[in-house]
Amino acid sequence: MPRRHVLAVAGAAALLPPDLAFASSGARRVASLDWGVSETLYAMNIPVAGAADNAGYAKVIGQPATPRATVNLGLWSAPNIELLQALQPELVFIQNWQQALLPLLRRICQVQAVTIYTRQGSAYAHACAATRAIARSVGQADAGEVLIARGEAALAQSRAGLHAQQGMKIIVVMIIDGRGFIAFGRTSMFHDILGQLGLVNVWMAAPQLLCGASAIDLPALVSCPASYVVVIDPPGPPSGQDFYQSRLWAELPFVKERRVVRLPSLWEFGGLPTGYRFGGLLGNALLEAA
Amino acid sequence: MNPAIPRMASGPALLALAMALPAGGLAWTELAHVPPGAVGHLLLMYSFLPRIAVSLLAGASLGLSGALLQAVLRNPLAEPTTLGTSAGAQLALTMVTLGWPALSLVEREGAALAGAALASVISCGLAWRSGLSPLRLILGGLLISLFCAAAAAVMGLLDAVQLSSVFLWSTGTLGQYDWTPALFLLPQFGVAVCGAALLLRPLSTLALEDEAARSLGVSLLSLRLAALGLAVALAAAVVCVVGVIGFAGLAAPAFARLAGGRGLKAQLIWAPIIGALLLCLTDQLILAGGHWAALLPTGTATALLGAPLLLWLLPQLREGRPVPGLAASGRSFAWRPGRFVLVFFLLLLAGLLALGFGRGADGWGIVSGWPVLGWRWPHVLAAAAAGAMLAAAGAVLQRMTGNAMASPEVLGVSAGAALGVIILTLALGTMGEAGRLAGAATGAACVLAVLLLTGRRGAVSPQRLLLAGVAITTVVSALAALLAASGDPRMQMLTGWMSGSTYLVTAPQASMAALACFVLLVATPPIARALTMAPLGRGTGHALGLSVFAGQTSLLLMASLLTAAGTLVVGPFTFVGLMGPHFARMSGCRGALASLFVAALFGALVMILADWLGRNLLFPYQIPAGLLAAAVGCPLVLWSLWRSQ
Repeated sequence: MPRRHVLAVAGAAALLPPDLAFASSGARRVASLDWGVSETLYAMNIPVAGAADNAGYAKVIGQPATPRATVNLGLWSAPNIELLQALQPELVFIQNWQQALLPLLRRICQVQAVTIYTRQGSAYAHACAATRAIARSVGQADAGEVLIARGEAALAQSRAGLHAQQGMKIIVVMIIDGRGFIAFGRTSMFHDILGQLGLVNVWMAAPQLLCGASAIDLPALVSCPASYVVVIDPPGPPSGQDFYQSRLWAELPFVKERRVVRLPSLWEFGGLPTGYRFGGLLGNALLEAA
Repeated sequence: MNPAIPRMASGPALLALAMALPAGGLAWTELAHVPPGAVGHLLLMYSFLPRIAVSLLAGASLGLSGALLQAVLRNPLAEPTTLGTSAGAQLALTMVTLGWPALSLVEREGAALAGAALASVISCGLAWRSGLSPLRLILGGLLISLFCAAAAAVMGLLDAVQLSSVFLWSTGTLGQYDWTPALFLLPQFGVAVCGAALLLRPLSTLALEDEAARSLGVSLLSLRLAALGLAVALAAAVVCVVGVIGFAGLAAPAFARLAGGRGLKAQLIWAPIIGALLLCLTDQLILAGGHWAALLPTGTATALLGAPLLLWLLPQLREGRPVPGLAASGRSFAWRPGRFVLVFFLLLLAGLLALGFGRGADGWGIVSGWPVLGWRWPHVLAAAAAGAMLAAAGAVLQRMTGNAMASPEVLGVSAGAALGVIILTLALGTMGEAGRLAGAATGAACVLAVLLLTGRRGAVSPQRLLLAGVAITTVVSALAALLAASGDPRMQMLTGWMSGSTYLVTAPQASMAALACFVLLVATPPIARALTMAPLGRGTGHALGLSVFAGQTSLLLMASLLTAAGTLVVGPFTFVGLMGPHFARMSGCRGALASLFVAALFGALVMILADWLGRNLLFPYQIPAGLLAAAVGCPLVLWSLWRSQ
């Protein structure tokens, strides 16, 4: 196999001019096949040669934006292998659920799988560990520490602003067109961020979904002892606006008593940047609602 | 058939009671969970009661729709989705959601209704000049369903996160927050009941043969159109408000029939009642299941609960009248070798195109050099081998059943293989290729065993076989929709395979697929005799001194092995098993063995082209070859159906 590998590199090198960003920084040439890793890399200002589904990323995550030099590699479940090889990455990042891709990717370069959502432990702790591991792998360990320190400082600032809300009971739900309701439990990123803001998540049911959420019905939502109901729009374009116009919604106790906060869409499988963005949005929204 | 059940209403009534009692009991206990006071009243009025009303109305509508379709099409397999209604609605909804995400629910419902009607009009148009022949109608409707499902799946795959709520909707969620859906369904159902009552007498004459009915002075065309219109409008309304409810339209009339409600009048009365109670009971079971069951959409649950029940009841089902011919013609003439060479040449050309030409980092270009070819050849070889095997399986099945809509997908073996993989993944989490292979092989073998057991006494009845296959396929497609809706990223890897992607195929896998293809095709000549005799029926076979059971079992085994080997490579929903034999027929090939080989060649050709298109059309995004084969091939087959009238 080594001969084939050498030929592969030689062939691709003939096709593509070397990328200036990588030549100047001396950093390792990396590609990311997971949006959570992509947003982490972008937030650390680490150049990324190729990333999975830039178009979808722009719609679902958006911030931080994909750098212009980053090549779109197609779907994260089926990235374009020929294109990836032509980019000559030295290291490619995947999430642990993409391990089916390992046999293909290992023929191209070194592969690093990160793990954030597992239905166990703390998603935030996993994301911090993943961020540090990513930063170390690209030779910029400091960038990881800076990202975490800045994010936690912003959370601490939000927490200071929320002094009147400390210990407040919160439930975070995602409503899918008024019919499907999921609430985020203790293995979700949002749970840990609530804790860092000094708020208490009242939804402690066992996680059903990998993102740490589980199904909740209206009676359970209405009778849960939360002071505020945080409604996150599902990722992508707004859907189910009819529900928010319906009589049932208007008459729900937490809506009538103005104990509801609506946040724009957030990806429930996001990395640290998504978590910090949730913290900032929620902090502002709670201050406005008070 | 159980002779103990009298031909009166007592059977269906007992069945209805047996479903109504637990449904009522569950609803009563559910009421106890509603919190007291104003909030409880609110939830009762705007969530709980509308949900019961919608489940009853949707179930009744689907039951009536199914009963009407089965009567008009004279086919116990007919159901509201047979005309492509629900798939058309889903495609339209997916499109408007992508284009205009902010549309209100009412506007989206309008779009779904238009899509449903358009799909139904196309399938009726295809059968128009043949006087809406039942078989043509079903074939056209099935192809439109396949096309719409494939097109919607391509969009969904490229936009999975954005469309999650569409997928949830498409799997049949009955949750309600006001009375709008119930009030939308009620008048439509009322009008349909009146229409069905008016049509009852003339429809009864339809039970006679066409000639006899015509001699009684009944206008067959307008009668069928009226009944079909009624059935389609009902099904479209249900799809609009609650999404696709798998199986209810098929199960309700079948259960009514099995309980003794066999006449047209009994069917039209009992199918809606049983459908309503069936859906209500299923929905209440889900509500009672607590929050673990809440993620399971009711439309999926009906399929999951209904299919095993139907499989269990299947041996009691009375043998239906054989569907009047298409494909089953016993005529056999030699195919000119020149054409065989031509198709083979085309295949080689397609292979070269797929290997050497395509888009890369620098745009379109001819590729030479090992690195790129090293990635490509396994895809091309695997696609070709899988296409050939699935098309050959389709040829065997169509020959066996004398039915041009038979295909490996309909047999359910592909679906069984997929089910094996899904269950293994859900149980064990992430797994390697060996696990995937073991799961698929086990699933396929299980379905094969069920099919063999179903027909263990006497010859395997083609209709029974198809019905069992449809049941299994329904379960798997419902599960696939659920997986897409679950938002679990690990499942997206699975949905890629299920939609017919050759993406993860490695060189050893591709070589194994090619080897399996070669071995199985070489093994077909020994069963050529059974293949030739298959369409002639039981009587002829006995008269010629053949062992019908041995012959049919060997054919079944061959079809299943071909299907399982093909499915392991490209997933369960590649409709090449339907298209390969069809192209072979179009090209004028009629001999049993010759058409099998020509079908295999066409199958390989279709899959190679689909694989190439899938890699290049939306570069760098890659569309699974199976989806593309369905999205491109189905209109081709539809066009040829239209021309062949």
